Amino acid sequence: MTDEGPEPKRGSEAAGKSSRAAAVKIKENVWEVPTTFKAGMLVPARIYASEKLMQQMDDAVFDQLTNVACLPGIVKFAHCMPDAHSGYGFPIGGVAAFDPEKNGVISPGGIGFDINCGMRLITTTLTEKDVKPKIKELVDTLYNRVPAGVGSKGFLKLTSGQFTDVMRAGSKWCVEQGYGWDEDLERSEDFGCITWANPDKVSDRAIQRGIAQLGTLGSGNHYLEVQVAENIFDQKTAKKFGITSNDQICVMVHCGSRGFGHQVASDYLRVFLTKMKDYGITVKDRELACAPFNSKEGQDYFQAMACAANGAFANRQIILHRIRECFSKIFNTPPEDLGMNLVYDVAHNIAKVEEHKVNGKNKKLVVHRKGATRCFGPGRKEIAPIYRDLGQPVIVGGSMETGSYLLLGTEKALEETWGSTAHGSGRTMSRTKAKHMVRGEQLQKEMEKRGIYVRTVSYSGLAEEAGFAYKSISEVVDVMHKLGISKKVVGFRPIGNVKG
Amino acid sequence: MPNYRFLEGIAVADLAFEATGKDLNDLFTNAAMAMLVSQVDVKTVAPKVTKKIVLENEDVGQLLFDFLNEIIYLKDAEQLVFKDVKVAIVKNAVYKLSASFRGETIDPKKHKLGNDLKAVTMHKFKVEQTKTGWKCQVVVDI
Repeated sequence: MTDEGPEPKRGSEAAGKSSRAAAVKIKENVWEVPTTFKAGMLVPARIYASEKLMQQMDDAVFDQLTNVACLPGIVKFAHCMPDAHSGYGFPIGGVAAFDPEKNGVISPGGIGFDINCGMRLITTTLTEKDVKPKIKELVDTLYNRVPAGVGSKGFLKLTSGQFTDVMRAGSKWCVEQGYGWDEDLERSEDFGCITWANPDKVSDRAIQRGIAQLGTLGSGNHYLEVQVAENIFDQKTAKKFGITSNDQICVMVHCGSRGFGHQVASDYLRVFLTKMKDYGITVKDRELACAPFNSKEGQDYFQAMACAANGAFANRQIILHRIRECFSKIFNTPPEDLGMNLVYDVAHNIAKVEEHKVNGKNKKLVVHRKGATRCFGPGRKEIAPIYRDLGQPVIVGGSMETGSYLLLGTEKALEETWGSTAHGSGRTMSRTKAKHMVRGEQLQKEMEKRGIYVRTVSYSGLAEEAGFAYKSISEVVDVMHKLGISKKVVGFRPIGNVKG
Repeated sequence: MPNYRFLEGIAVADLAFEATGKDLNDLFTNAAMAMLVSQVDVKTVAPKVTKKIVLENEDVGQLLFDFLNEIIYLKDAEQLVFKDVKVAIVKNAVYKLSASFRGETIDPKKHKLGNDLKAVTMHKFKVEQTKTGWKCQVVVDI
């Protein structure tokens, strides 16, 4: 196995300066590492963060981001969102666009193993007063109907032919089968179905890992949460998204493509590692393995990734259906009468071909978002007509203890970050360390005292997700709000949580 | 004392470990155990099923990478968690590995479960020979 290619260091990196120290403050909440820092940097690295969030990012974020800035065909900047922490290849919170006409690449390392990991937000007409007395019963029912944890299986038994339909049609397949409402589709990025998906590009191993998992949460930082819309920052927009009072109950889901997507990513990482040399590409980190977007391997991955993305859309659609069933059962009312509308479904680990302005001209770029959310402003054709005049709803999930946000995409985001913003609060502490600081059982009790009822398959996993292991979500969304990249609409407080 | 240890400063959001072994069989067994104990408390798993796998590769690092990914594959595709593993590696023209895992079908009521592992990554992945045997460093996406 070849390691990262040795390359002579030059500039400030050669002089022993760290990539973090090389970051220069450009203006309030914006930092840049210039191309002179590292040999091979084609564009500067640009970080959006407050002083405090900068300090909380681990050093590897800056190393990884400046490595991304060296990838062929990268345009303008290697961007980094305020919730960033180190990942593999790209940092989590990394955004980069590549020009396919200039040998621009596609890299699984810029998307993540959990392809189309994302968020869903669902409204209800219930208030905190209605739900609080039944919260245990409700969360227990959700816990039983949305399986979570190691190797969990869903309730759907799919044939391989049906799974192929899921790969092609995503949420659309689910709605056709009766798992959802027609209107759910327009309330989703890509209408819940990426059209260029090609199941021929997916391995049998990936299908075997995924076929039993539709409608499951997974583990790690994935969750299903019952929340109260506590702070409404923008009444008018909130109302258009179906949130009208500050005691309204909403439900948020965070999960992705499960074993299916993880295997697609693993398969293509191996393909790219061996194929890169044929295209004369060297990278500074094996997890940045990539291929030109306009190459056989690049296209194969793009089509396989779309299958995994559709798998994730379908997964979240089935979960939405289960949530409606559970609420309906507990409150003895049809979900339609409980106002259980989907606000939106966002993908925060994905690559898409999008049109953006580069030097005043419209160009098609391959935009990678890894732990970053698309936040297009008003007017973009990608947003369904119901929201097109407003801008894209953006769902940002916090740690299970601290709350979450609904934001709105802006025109400014299109100018600054290829229409991208943060995706969560971002870890500051390793899982191993968090587990040493608190026991899961103890954390569960403490959370219950604070009014958050949690169910989990894994107590060690619960401890790893403790709020103190994360950055402050308010600080993260405030940075992007102040910069005008995404605007705060509603802030949510958790009252019940099924932890994956 | 197990011949693996979990590392804190390598992967903020994921699982990083280092394993050692007096020979390759030992190294692979210990690295596999680090993965198995992160998925489940192995004391709660009974040896009801034996799963045999055979792999080969000219590169010992790639062999370990594929071997560890099999644990993740079997967890998702066959819903199996394991208690232990026996590994035998021979080297001729290439490294040939045969391994047999003992465990059972996942049962959340019976098993004390940990993390659902997504993928073995190439991030800081290292396999090296030392004075006393072999050592590896592995980061697993969670």
